[in-house]
Order: sequence, then C-alpha cells, then structure tokens
Amino acid sequence: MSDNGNSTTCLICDTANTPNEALCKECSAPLALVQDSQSLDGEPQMVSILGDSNAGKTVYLGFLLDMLSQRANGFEAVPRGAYSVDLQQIVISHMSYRMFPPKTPVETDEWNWAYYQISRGGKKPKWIDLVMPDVAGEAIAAEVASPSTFRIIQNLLHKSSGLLLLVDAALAANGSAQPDFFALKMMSYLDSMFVTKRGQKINMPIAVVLTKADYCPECFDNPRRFAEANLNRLWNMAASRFARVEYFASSVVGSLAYATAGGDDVVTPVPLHTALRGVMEPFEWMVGQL
Amino acid sequence: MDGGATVIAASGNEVVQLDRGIYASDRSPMGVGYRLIASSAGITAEEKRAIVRCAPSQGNLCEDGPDATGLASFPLSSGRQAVLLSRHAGIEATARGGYNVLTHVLVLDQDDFALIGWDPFVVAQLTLAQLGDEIPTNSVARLEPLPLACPLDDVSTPLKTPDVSLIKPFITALAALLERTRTLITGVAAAPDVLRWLVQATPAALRQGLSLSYGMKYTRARQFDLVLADPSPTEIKRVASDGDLNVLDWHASVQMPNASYQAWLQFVQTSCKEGCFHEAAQLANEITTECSADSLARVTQIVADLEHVPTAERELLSDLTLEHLGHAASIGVPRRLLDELKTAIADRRTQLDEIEAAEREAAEQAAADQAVESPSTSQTPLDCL
Repeated sequence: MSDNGNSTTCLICDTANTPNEALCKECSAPLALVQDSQSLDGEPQMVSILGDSNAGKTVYLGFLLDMLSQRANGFEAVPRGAYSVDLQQIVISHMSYRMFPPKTPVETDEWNWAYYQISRGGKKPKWIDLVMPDVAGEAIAAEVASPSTFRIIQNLLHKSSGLLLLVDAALAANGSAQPDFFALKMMSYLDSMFVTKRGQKINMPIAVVLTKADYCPECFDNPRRFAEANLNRLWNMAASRFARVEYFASSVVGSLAYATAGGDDVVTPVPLHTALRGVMEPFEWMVGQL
Repeated sequence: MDGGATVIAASGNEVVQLDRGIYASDRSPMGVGYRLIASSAGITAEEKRAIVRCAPSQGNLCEDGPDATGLASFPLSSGRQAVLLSRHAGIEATARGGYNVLTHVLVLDQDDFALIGWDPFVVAQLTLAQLGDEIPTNSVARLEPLPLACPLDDVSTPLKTPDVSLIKPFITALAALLERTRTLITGVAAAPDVLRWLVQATPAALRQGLSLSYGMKYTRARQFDLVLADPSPTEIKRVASDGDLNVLDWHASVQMPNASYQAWLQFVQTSCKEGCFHEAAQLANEITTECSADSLARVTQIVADLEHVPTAERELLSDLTLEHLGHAASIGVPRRLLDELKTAIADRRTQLDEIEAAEREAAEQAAADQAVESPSTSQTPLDCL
C-alpha cells in the first residue's frame, strides 16, 4: 500500500489512484482504507464474509461488529474511520424497528466496508487490523458463475487471510439443495484460485457459518453433523481440499412473523425480536487462526 | 452468435433481430436475487458479464416511485451495442423493502443499430411496443431473439423543440457529448426528453460508440459518456473528485462552450430559437459519414446559404457558386446539399433572368408608349403659323 502524495494505491486491487479520489477507479473500494492504515508497518488483514443472496451476511456482520464494539467476549474493537460504523448502524437501526436491513445492491460502490482494530484482552493484548467488506450475494454468485465479472471479489479473496462462508441452514434443513450447491461452487472457485500441489490442501481458514439456525435447533447441537447430513457436497469438498474448516451454527432472530398487505402476493418476514446466538464463535475461531 | 441478422420483411421494411435478456430479482429453484434470469442464446458470456456489471439493482433507479424508468446504451467489448430498459416492477423477490428493478436487455450488431440511426430511444420504442410488461414465468431461462420491423422512413419521431430557457444548458451538454467529455448532468426534470434531444441533435455518425444513460444512479460501473442522474450533494462531491468526470448542473448559469464543433452547435442553437429543432434533427439523422468539425461546419454553412438563395442577387449567387460549387463533394449529405444549392442557384438565376426580361419588356413598352404619345404634342412654332 502506498500514499505517496502523487497517487494512492488501492488496498484491494493495487491500482494507483489520484490522491483526492474517494473510491478506487478500478474496483470501487474506499481509498480511506489506505489512509487509515498509514500508521501500520504492513497491510491490515482481511476477512471476507461470503454467502449466497439472502443468506444473512449483512445482518450477521452488522451484529458481529456491534458486539465487538460493546466488548463482547473480552474483545476490544476500535473502528478506524466513521465509515466503518455505517453497517452496524444500518443493521441495528432497522432491526430495532422490526425490519430487516435493505438488500445490499450489486453495485460495488454501494457496499459497506468495515475497518476495525481488534484485540483480545489479556496481559499482552495483540492488536489485529481487520477489514471486512459486506459484499452483495448476487455479485459473489455472478463472479463464481463467470469469473472476472466482479474482479474486486477475486482481488478480495486473494488478499484475504480468512473467510466466513455463510450458508442458509434453514433452507438446507427444509430439503433445498440450493445452499449446498452454492457452497460447493464457492469452494470450487476458491480451489481454482489457490493453486496447490496434488495432495496438498488449501491452508486458508474457513469458518462455515450456518445461519438462521433458529429454524433447525439441531444445528446448534452439532453443526458438523448437521453439515455432513444436509450440506454433504460442501462437507466432502471441504474435507478433500481444505485444511482448516470449522462449522458453526448462528442465529440472530428470536422470533419471526410474516406480514402481507391486503390483496398482495408478497410475504414480508418481520423480525419481532433479536436473540443473538453463535455470532461471536466463528469470529473468535477465525482470530485464533490468523 | 444468432443475434443481429437482418432480413427484409415482405412489406419491404427491414427487420433487425435483437438478442435479448431479462435482469431482475427473482426467486426460483436456481437461486434468488438479481441476475440474468433469462436470455437468448446469442448473448455471449463476456457480454453477460458486462451487462451484469452495468444493469441497475436494488434501489438504483433515480426515482423512488413505482413508475420510475431508466435507459442505458453502451458498446460492448464484442463490438455490439447493449440497450438496457429498466423500470420498477412490483416488490423485490426477498421482500426486504424496495421495488424489483426489472431490466429488459437488448443486444444488437452495430450495423443493425445503424439502421435505427444509432438511436437507443427508437430501440426502446419499438421494443416496448412488442414486449410491454412481459416478465417470464415458470423460470423460462431461454428467450427467442426479438425481431423488430424497422420502418426506415419513420425511424425517429422528432420531439418538440427544447424550450428557450433550456437552450443554453442543452447546447453546453451537446458540446460535451460531441467532444466525448464524460459528463454527469444533474437537476434535469424531464431527463428522457432532454437525453432524446441530445441524441437527435448529435450527427448520426457521432452516435456510434456513444454510451449514455438516464434514470439510473451514477456508479463506477456505469461510467458512460453522458449520464443524467441526481446524486445526493455528498455523492456529487465524491463524484466530482473523479478528475475525468465533468459535473454539469442543468439549472446553473453556464457559459456557452468554445468547442471544436462550434458551427454545428450554433446551427442547432439557431434551429431551437427559431422553433425548427426538427429540421436540425432531420439533418443530424442524415449525417451518417464524414463527421469532422470541419465537415459539419461546411454542411451548416451550405444550409445557411441555401436559405439566402431565394432572395439573393446575382453577385451573391456568383459568390456562392465560387465558394461551394468549385469543391467536389463525394457522397452523403454534403453532396446532396451541394446538388440542392446548385439547383437553387440555377432556379434563382432563371428567376432573375425572367424578372430582368420582364423589366426590360416593361421598359421597352413604356418607351414605345412614350414614343406614340409624343408626335401629337410636339408641334414646331412654324407649323402653328
């Protein structure tokens, strides 16, 4: 990374930009990330949150950041730049009004980026700088289906130190194969990105977060068993090609209602209250892997 | 690639085949969210990638209401042209608020686009007349190409002349378009009309390869030559930091541009002031080749001089003959105009000859009449004795 006064090098795609630009002209990542990381000796680490559309990425990341801001589980988290707080504000504000936050647009310059300095309490706290973007699920799906559609995702994954792969456990538990196929495609995409020798496995830590697990409580009892039973394609792929994969169950909604307008076919889910469960564990594991 | 084959219909009109697709948020066994839910076979993978990057998704039309629309037209790396027609179409599939942004995607060869005068509004007009509000049902993934009958004598219906109060910003925007200076115009009330005027005032040959949009929010993915949108003040500030982009406030007082295409701009401006914008649009549609600033200056000069011919005297006719008819024009509009000028000058000369002949005859008659009258009145004093 560099900001030598004449140009600012994007943290994600390494494109040189003019100093007064707000977003990278190539990938639309905020150049504030570069400015906010000036004091570091190296680049901040990146943890990417991936998942299909409607898997719960925005809600999960928003609650995670909010819990970190409130020093949950002994973590201390400091946002670098006011923009880092946007996502958690959007999520918490909407949920407090019993609404899910709006869908993340596919347009890359509308994604929310969070840059936090995080440490775990202790005698010698170790600080980690983490960048966590909230990426649109459709963009991920489009990139996986046709690589180079959204190069920013390629670049993000190349630079990521770890991944949180969110999978809709409720859909999977109901018998839908869609979450399993998406996860398999995602893992295949990662496999093709990180070339390894035959017999070697990819070392990037991947936390598979089984979201909406309140629909299927057995997921909390044994997430690995749940994944093996309901997401078998993912399970097999992960076992074959990845060295560090762990499974977690997560849920944020305590109870859900469904609303319709008179004469309308559309059914709107309404989160009546939140009951966070399993939000911190995947992150704690990830931090331990970095 | 299937798309873009042109056939001649039995009626004699040309029929262009458009490849098409539909980009929207849909819930189906194959997935949920914004994607190309259906397309015809002729759209290549690379074209699909470009379309997915540019098509508007959640909340990306400028207006919030159910009647919001948007249009984008841009060249693809394959050489073909994509035209996107977007509108709000019911509630978004995951019901997380907001409308479903439905986009009809049309892809056509540049040759076929040329038949339609490189005017995306004509594509939109002809397409929507056929498709209407059609949305595929039952997860139809494959669409047939769309045949559009193209009545060449009516490919573009000119709009009414821009209001006098809009002429200055209109000419400024037109100058930017002709120079291909990337411009974002904000504060335009009737964006479709304004963009259509700008397209129609641009000589057809210069429309080739043009990228433009209205009604869609400005994003890096939609970095077109001309964008009509209304970003928030914060967004404008951020966008303005992009050194390559010119931001023009439609309602701000602007100085008339000093641009390369000055003569053409002057011609359009005069046409607008005189209430005959349709004539400028007609001429612009005809200019399909030879489109340098100098050639356009020459064309506008010939048009202006043509207007003087019906009342010109011989001296002016000689000057015009020397100035224009001494140069050879090969093809296209200059050739047609010079032929018209030549005919007009010849007709005017004939007219002047007839006038002079009539005047001479009248003078001779008057002289003869005078001579007949004069013997009875001109007696000598000797005769009187």
